[in-house]
Amino acid sequence: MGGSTSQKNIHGQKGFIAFILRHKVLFGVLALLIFEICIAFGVHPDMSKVAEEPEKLKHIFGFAIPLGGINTKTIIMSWIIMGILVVFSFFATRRMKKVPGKLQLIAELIVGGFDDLCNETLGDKARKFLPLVATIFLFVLLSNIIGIIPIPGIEEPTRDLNTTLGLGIMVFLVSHIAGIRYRGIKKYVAEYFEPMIEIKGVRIPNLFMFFLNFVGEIGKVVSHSFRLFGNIMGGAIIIVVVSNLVRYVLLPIGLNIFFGIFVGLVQAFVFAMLALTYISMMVTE
Amino acid sequence: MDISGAEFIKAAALLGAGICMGLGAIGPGIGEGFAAGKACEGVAREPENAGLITRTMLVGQAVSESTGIYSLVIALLMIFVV
Amino acid sequence: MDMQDSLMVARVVGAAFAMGLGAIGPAIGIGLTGSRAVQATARQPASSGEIMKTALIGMAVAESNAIFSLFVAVVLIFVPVTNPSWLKIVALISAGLCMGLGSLGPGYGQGYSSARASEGIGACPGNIGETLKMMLIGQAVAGNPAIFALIVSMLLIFGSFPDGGGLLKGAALLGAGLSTGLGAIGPGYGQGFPAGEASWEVSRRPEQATLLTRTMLVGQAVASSTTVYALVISLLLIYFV
Repeated sequence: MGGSTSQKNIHGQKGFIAFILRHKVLFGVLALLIFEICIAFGVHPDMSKVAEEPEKLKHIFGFAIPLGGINTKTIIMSWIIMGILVVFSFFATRRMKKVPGKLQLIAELIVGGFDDLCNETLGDKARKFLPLVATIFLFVLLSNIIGIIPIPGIEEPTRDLNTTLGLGIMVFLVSHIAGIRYRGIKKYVAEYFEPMIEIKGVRIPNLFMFFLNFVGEIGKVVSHSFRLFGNIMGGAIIIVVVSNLVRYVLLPIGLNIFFGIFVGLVQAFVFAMLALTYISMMVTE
Repeated sequence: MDISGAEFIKAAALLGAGICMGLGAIGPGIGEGFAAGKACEGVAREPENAGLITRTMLVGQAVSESTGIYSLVIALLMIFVV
Repeated sequence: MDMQDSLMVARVVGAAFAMGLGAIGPAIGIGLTGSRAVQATARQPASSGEIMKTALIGMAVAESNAIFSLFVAVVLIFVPVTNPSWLKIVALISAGLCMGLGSLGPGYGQGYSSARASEGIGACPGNIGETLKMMLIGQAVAGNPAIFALIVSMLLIFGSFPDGGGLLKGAALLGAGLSTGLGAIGPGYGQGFPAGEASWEVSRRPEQATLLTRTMLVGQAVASSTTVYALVISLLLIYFV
């Protein structure tokens, strides 16, 4: 009886704060919405820029940059995201306790989840590739979600094909080099000629299949990176065009949250899962 | 408006490249999806054989994708070579 | 007929293609979901609430493809053309065709997956959480081809194509729309199929959710590679011809 009254007193003392704390997700979303609306009044992106090439840095110290220049926005945003990740992991692992705090709990959830996934897929080689796969997931996730901040100039780095293609080529190189290292060059090369022709028990390499397998491997990189690029780019285009059509009345905010959080999360997970699968296909027998 | 024969051929090749890749993507897409669906069924029924089933699925999909890759190669040839 | 009139004709024809073709797939998919949901309810009237919820959520996702088509049609009709040229006429018709064809497959595929999910919920209403999660992830991935088609049609609508390329560029623009549009049909349906099977299985065996998610995602990813090839060909045709 006494306990319940004292609890009531505590609630009575800071009723409003307790109310906010109890519904912090709701209030967080509300605050985000208000923030978006405030920003949206000042921003008028130009619809004709949808299909335009982004501005690029063409010269550096007087030298022309090959392949049409560098998209500086992408690089700056990538570095910002890397910085956020470094700071987050620094603070999450600085004072590790048995009973984890909030940051440590988040970090443990992510790392633990990917540890399980890697163990199921890769077996004893899981710990070798866990850092790579989990880092790819975190980087892509944060890159996809950062577009939700409605400040002009903040753009998803994954909207640029260079980022996604870079990540795709990295996974490609890692998986193939790991394949050669763990299974030997002989088995690695032989895989390209599968399924081989068998005549009286003698297996003859199939040159025709080599061509197919080779194009298939290149196709993997292309589809891996274009899927991420296409989804994030598509979301961004839809948001710009819809915002213009409805004059920033409410709808873009929902779209922003849908494409930023839901699509971003699913695509980041798909990207990391595929990286894991490509590596495991190369590494395991 | 006068159009030379070579230009007409190139234009037809470009249009053909688009149609080639578009139509060529239909079959592999459905076929590979079918394999993936059946693999999901198999994995759910026999989770201990998940690795084997996934590998079989991937090999089957890789082979059924070959027609899609043919379309891609032909389309690229029509864009850049013809 | 001057250029503005011709452009208006192209806009209207493109919009007709976009909405007319684009309604087919989602309509069949949603109808399939509805019929399976009704069957499941007839078998298990007690779990009608859960079945209804699943079917409605799934239908809403499958309908998003029709909404993409509607969106493209509205943009084509009401948004003034920013950089008119004779090539733009081809580009606008091509954009309409691209989005219309592009929502055929994903609409049907997403409808199929929600149909299987509602069936599963009808059999085991207790596992609605896992089933819904699986269905939504699967549908989100199966919607990729429609999003690709939307990108290509937006590029065609808002891009500037100065006259001078002539017949070559016109053919390339029409080819670009057809490539992604047709290329989205198969993968869209193909990715919906594993999503449906996985949702059905997870409703009966929720303990296999992780394994099933992985198998489904990998299978869908491979199945969608051809639509990515089609997107690449379209981008090549738009920008490099």
